[in-house]
Amino acid sequence: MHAAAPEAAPPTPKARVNLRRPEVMDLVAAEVAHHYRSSTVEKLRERGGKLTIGNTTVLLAKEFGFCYGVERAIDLAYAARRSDVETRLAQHRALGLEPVVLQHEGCALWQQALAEIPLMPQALRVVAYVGDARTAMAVGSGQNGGELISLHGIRLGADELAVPGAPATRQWAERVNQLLRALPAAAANEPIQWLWCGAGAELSSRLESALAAGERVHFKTLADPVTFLARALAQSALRGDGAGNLRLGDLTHAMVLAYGERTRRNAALNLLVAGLVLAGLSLGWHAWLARCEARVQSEIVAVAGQLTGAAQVPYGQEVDQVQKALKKQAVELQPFLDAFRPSATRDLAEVLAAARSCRVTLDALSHSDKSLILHGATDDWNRCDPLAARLRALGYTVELSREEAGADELVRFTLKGSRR
Amino acid sequence: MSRPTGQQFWLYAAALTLVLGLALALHALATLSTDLQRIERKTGDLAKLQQIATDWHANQQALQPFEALSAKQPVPLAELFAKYVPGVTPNIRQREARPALAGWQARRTEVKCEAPLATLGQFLRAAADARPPWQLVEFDLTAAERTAGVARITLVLEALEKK
Repeated sequence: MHAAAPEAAPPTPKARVNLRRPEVMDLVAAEVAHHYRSSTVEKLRERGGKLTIGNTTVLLAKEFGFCYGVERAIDLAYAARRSDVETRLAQHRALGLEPVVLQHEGCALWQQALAEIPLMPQALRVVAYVGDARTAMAVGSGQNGGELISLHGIRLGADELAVPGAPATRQWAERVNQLLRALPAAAANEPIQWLWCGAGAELSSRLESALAAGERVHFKTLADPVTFLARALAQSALRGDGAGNLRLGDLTHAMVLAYGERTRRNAALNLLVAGLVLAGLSLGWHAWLARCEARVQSEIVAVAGQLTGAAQVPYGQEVDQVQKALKKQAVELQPFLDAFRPSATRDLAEVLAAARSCRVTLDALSHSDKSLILHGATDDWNRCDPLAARLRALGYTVELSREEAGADELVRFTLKGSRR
Repeated sequence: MSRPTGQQFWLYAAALTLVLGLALALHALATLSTDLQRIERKTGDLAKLQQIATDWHANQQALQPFEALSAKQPVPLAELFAKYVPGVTPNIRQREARPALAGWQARRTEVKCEAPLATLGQFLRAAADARPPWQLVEFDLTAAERTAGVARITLVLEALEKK
């Protein structure tokens, strides 16, 4: 893991290089196509720039796209970045290093500052890293949870700024003020939260005086400023979100590619396992319910078959069929049950014994299924009452009727008993 | 559109499996209530049938003593009458029969006579003790006009017999 800009040498005029070499441009063309070309636009072009869906017609502008100048500028920007990244990688490889992440330090500084110091609402933020030989600045606003506006580099660092009386400090301040003046007009009056870090943070008071920024700027030195950039780069690499990483596309480190592949494979595996578990549980649940139902049904069929004597009982009508069949069989079982019920002999013996004890003469006695009728006579009006009570004790509902009689005549009576 | 790579294919397949799993899980949840109600209804039916079977088997125990008898026909009433009510010739008439299980039937027999009441008890006890037993189901007694203790008797007895 390395910063994109190693400690630079003192400024010397750079030799002109051709960035738009054919081997670079082939790759740039693919990258630009990936970022700027749209399959929807291509399809529209194939249809003559017109697409009608229902009552909506989409028209493609005749001159849709970038002009040559913009296209060239885009190509140049992509080529410059690519060429720069390749050069940096070549430098590292020459030293026997293969950086996993080639991080843009400005992005890393901004992200780390966001993580360590809360944003001031409605304020700009400048994260200023003063290294030994250069200064890097990340400028952003407090809106939308921290919006990075611009990244800047100044080829002046602590080595030169620390020399008392040298013009470096003045040049540094002029350059910074120039950058601040270039900020969006909307932010012109917003306060600025200025965060110092890097080895040159110890020079902050001198630099603040040189800036003469007034009350609008609130300066603060970040905790452990010397290791701040290292922390920022490490955290950025650990996050693995690719923000600010310049090793992209075919320049991506093999380990990162393998990690991505492993992550995707694990994601696919997790999805597969989750899907299989859900499907398995659902199917298993269904199978278990079906098994429970089949077991209950087979028991129903067995009991119903046993009770009806039929080989097959219509599905879902088992209880009805059994009740119907048993109703028929119950009639044929009844004689056996009746054989165990008390015989009418008991009633006959009881009635005869009661009549004898009450000194009642019986003329007729008849008993059928649920009724008992007695005709008789007695010499006293009340003598048949105990007989009626005896019949009630046997479970009969009794109706007693007596005929009026003279003093020397017998009282004739009828006792009717009925039983449910 | 570029063709999916092997890894993309597996990712799509896994996503499809997840969608399938979710669909199956949702279907299982949606039908859960109906499935449980159906099983509950069947369990209720089974419990009802088992109760019916228990009652039926308990009732069928009534058949066992008759099946265990060596004689499957009741003692003729004329024979019993001659033994316990000597000197009286009854008018014996077979009446209707009710069909019963396992080839049995309940036959009713009517006995008409004029006899002393004192002898009737012995006859009925002997009839009830016979195997298969005779059971008195109806009777009609009318006092004889001239002789005390004697009555015109109509008895209806029922006994089970193997057809």
